[in-house]
Amino acid sequence: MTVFRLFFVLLSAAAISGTSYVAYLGHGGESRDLDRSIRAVSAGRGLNGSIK
Amino acid sequence: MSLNPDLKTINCTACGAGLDVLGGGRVTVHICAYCGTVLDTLDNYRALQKFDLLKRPDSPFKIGMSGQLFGVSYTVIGTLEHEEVWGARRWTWIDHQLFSPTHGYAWLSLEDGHLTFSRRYRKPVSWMSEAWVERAEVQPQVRAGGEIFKYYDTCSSAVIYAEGEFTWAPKAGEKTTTVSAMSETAMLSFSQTGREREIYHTVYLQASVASQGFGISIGFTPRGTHALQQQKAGGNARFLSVAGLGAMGLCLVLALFMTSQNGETLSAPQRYSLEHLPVEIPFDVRQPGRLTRIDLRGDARNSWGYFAVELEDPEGEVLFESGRTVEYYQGRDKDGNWSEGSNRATLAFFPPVAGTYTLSLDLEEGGSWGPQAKDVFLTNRPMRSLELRIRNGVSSGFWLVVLALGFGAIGGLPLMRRFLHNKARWRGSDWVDEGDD
Repeated sequence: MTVFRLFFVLLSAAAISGTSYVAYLGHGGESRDLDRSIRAVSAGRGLNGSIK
Repeated sequence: MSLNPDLKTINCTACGAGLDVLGGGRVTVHICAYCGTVLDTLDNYRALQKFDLLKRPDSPFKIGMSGQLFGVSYTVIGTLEHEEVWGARRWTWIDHQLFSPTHGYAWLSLEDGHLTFSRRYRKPVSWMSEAWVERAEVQPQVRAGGEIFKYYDTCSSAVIYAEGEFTWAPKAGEKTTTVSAMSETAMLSFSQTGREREIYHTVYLQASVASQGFGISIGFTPRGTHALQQQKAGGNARFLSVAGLGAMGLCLVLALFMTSQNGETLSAPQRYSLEHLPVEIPFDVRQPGRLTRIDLRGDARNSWGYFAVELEDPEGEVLFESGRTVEYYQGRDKDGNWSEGSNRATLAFFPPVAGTYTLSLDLEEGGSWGPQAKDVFLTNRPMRSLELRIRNGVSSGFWLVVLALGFGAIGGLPLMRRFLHNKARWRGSDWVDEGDD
């Protein structure tokens, strides 16, 4: 196995392991609109104002 | 460059110029390089006709040059220039007839700076005729030497320049129709001139190989991608494809697994009647730093409600204020039943510390939609109740999906390059599937 291939396999394994841990903690699943005192969601008829 | 040491010479019977005889026993004509007269080698070099030699094509290979190709020593014994005209377009290419005392005759062709090497194909193979191609509804193909050759194109060309020795008698302007079929590595050309039929097997010749074999500088830069040109893939291309796509698959499986991990339920699903809102719901977080999710589920029906959500941490500080809309619409039109919106909404956050958090929930606005729709009104009851569930320790597959896309790009790039290269190889084909036109 060439050095490049070994490096790629090790780097990939590290990336998958690290990302799996981050995924286990739930990162990426948090809501993006939870800043204090900012209401980021529009009220009702939120489907671009036109339903169907 | 070296000249064949076994040169013999004859004098042109038309102009008297000395001509080197290089070509072996199957040569039938010798075209004088000085006056263009076609001499019949089988009839005491009798003059047959004359070629116009004013427009000698530019080629790095000259008659008399010897070199090694594929481990065989060849001598250049003739030069032809072909021309194909289609409407306003014109293509030309150069064929050099080669001779080896041990391996016979071959052709070295130069077109758009690309070199190809051709030999007569004498193994049994079906003849791909023009008529077959014209009648065919699916791309014609033949099997030869364990490979499948698919129809590539049909061309009708004429010789416009000839010089040297040949195993057949080129005639100025005589049309040759050639049907070509291509495999992954080679091309079979089914040529017909008058009643004479020949099949040639052609492979791509790297300029460096020809340059090294003949000891010359080719001096041409190949233009575009030749149909027989093999892709210059790095040594790790296949590895990257397999490893990248394998890692992508692994990431997607892990993402699916993580997405299914919903952690522990902090509060059993509780249903609140809208008339009892606002409510405050305390809940204990035992795993700080882990994703915590609040799931809302309403029973809206052609209605919507905007629920204000506020969360206080164990110290009583507001962690966030937000809100979620629960809305669901349905109906029927000429296309059938339809529905839009969702009765479900979620908020997810990372609790910074363990302890008891307090969630405040209130209906801030609501309304209904449809024939009986009324104006938006505050704190009305667009639905009967709202169900709430809180989970701590939820996992997410988001970043694993992002990583999977990255690995997919790494693994897919060599495949994409291969696809584009093959597309470029077949760009010159004149076959059009019925679905493509």
